[in-house]
Amino acid sequence: MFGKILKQQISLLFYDNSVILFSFIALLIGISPFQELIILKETKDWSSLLSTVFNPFILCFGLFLISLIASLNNDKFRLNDLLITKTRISITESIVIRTMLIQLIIWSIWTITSLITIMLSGLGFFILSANFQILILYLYAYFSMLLLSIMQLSVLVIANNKILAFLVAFGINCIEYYLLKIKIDYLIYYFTTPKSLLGISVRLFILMILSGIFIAISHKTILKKDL
Amino acid sequence: MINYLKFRINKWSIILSLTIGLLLSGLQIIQSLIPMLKFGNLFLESPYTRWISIDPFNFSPIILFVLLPLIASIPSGNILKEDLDSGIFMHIKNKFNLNQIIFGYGLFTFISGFISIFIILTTNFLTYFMFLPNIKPDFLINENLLIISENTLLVELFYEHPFVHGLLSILLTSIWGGLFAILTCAFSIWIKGKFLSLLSATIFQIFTMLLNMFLKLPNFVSYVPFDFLRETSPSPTNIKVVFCATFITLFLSVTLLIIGRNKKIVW
Repeated sequence: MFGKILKQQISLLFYDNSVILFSFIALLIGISPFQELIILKETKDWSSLLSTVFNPFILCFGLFLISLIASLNNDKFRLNDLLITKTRISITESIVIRTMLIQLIIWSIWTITSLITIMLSGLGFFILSANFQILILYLYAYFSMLLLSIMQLSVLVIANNKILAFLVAFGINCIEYYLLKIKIDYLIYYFTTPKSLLGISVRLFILMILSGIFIAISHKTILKKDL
Repeated sequence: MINYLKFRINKWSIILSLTIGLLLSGLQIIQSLIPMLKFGNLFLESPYTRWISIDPFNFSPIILFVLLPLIASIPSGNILKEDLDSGIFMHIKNKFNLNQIIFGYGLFTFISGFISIFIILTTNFLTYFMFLPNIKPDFLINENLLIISENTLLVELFYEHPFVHGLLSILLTSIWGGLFAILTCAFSIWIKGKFLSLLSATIFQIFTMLLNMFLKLPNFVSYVPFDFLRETSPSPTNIKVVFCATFITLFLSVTLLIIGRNKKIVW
């Protein structure tokens, strides 16, 4: 059943035109630090490279905002599928698969363009000398996007209101950004400043567990909900 | 036409948009007044140097000005789309002229966006007069805010008549709120999804923010709405650029409405 749902969601996504708009904006976000990186070429500083590529302001109001809107955009399941499969797990599966696929498209376009931008601006030796450790930070960005959108889904399942779900998830995003600015413990924006590899991998694990918990919450509410 | 729309508007959406805005402005008031109540007004602060549009130290003004299109377009930006989908538009078309209907919808969305932003900003501005003394801002005492001609429109008026300058700033921001509401109304004819059409003006603003990073005007003058709408903006501003941006946005929304009327509504 899982394979059939995956196939169906991919075919539905293929005819969704709004993905083109979101991927174009993700491409713009990927190219945006180009002019600052050219100025940065003389200093050869690892921490300022990270703070320009993962600029928290652009991430908060550009990439995460776009990913939150994109994951709410369309209906994610049809009532006929419920009648055919006769289980409510299929609804949860289709919702989660659709969200993950849209995040994956936006994230992969952003990652590829920003890596190409770093290479073109003449800072490629930073990536090569650190044995591609920057890819772990990009993976961290994907999981933080996923956690925010799954939180949004669980609010949507409970409240049945798209604007309210968007505002709650965006509020959590903004609180995390505020915590980054006043330097109290933060989770979603942990990768924007240079940290040890152990701390990043532990928080990556925490992010996965939290998104699993939120998937379980939304599944429990779908089981009891009147569709 | 206006009488019908007054009856048509959803009251819960007005309450939702006002709660978002008033929550953010209340948060800003609490954040900036707590240290002042603790240690006293040491730096001779006045309402003109502390209210939400001029405050560079807190985080909630940034969120308010980024979400300004959404707050302005929640009350009635989506009404035309919903009426076209449900089919009640056909019923109205029997009673009124088509030009009159489109003009009525546009005017009503402008007024509702204008009023919702106006209420949020004026309550914030007037609340500060209850707590802080009404002193004229001075260039030397308030030097930490750096209110100079580079980043403030009509800076002479600010030091001469600060209250008038504040009111003019509120008026400009409210007009932009109305413009964003019309823009949402114009985009919503063309966009299929209901949720995406509500957020289209927000995406438009994010798009201009990203565009501002590549195509820079001379002297790094910003043409992003959430930069130049604040009384003292974080980046350089120019009054000609503000007028040009206003007219381009008005032109875009009106042409989209007229072409949409000819292509999508009439058949």
